Amino acid sequence: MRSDGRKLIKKTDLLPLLIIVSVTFLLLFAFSGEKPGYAEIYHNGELIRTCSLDDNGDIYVCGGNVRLTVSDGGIFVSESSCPDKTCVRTGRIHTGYQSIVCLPNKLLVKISDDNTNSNDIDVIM
Amino acid sequence: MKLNPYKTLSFYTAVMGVMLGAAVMLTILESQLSSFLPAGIRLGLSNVVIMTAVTAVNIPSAFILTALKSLFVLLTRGVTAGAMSLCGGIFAFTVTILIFRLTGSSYILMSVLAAIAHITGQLLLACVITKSIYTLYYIPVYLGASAATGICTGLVLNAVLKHIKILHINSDIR
Repeated sequence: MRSDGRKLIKKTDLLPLLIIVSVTFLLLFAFSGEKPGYAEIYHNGELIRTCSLDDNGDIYVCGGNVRLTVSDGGIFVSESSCPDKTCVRTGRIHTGYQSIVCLPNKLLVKISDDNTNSNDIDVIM
Repeated sequence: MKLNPYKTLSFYTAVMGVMLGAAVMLTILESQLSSFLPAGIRLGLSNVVIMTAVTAVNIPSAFILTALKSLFVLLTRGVTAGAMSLCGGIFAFTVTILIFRLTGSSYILMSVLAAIAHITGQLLLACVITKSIYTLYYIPVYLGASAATGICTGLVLNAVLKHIKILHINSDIR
């Protein structure tokens, strides 16, 4: 018997665990959006540009520290100066309620259906 | 009178050194393992050390370990990672001590809730850093991941505490 008498798992744990799992699935269901077709790029909380996901090409943001690639109706970070590369490993996003965050570069990319301020993409290739 | 070796300051210092070493090692191991997991998800193995400290040593020691672990992250992985580690660590530590002191909750539930607290702290800090609420889109993925990793760390914590008991580390150590 341990000094604090705690158990590994109890029957009463099942309810909170079940609630956590159901909330997860509920949110996953609620957050599965349609395909809006635009990407909004925020730096330091400000919208710096919007681009259409129908285009293909690269966008350099945060003073050239981050390279975003738009292809096949999605967007992903293809290169970043940050140490962790979490943004690169997030991979491609293409539907609503998805975002890519790069904390060291204070960058956030989200999908949106709003095409106001949409600029033409700089096609590098 | 014979001195009880388990109640000396030297013993306490040695135990804290070993625990900090374990926390740091697990932090390194975790960042290696995280390349096999979806982006940003970590197992939270080093949190096992913090929960062990709360359970088997005492609360101030657990806080010191949380702070020193984040200092290590700050020195090795930069300011952002260090701040994220500290913020998540403090949230997880707070929830752990509240559950430990106020409830008789099991280890599994305690570590699942600590994992959720950890990610809540990090997402809130991410909101502050990016000055945007859209980082919260990560909630569903991280909530599910927290439940899974929390169960794993709960099992590890339980296994560790079986052996820690042999060391007779109690809250009255000093």
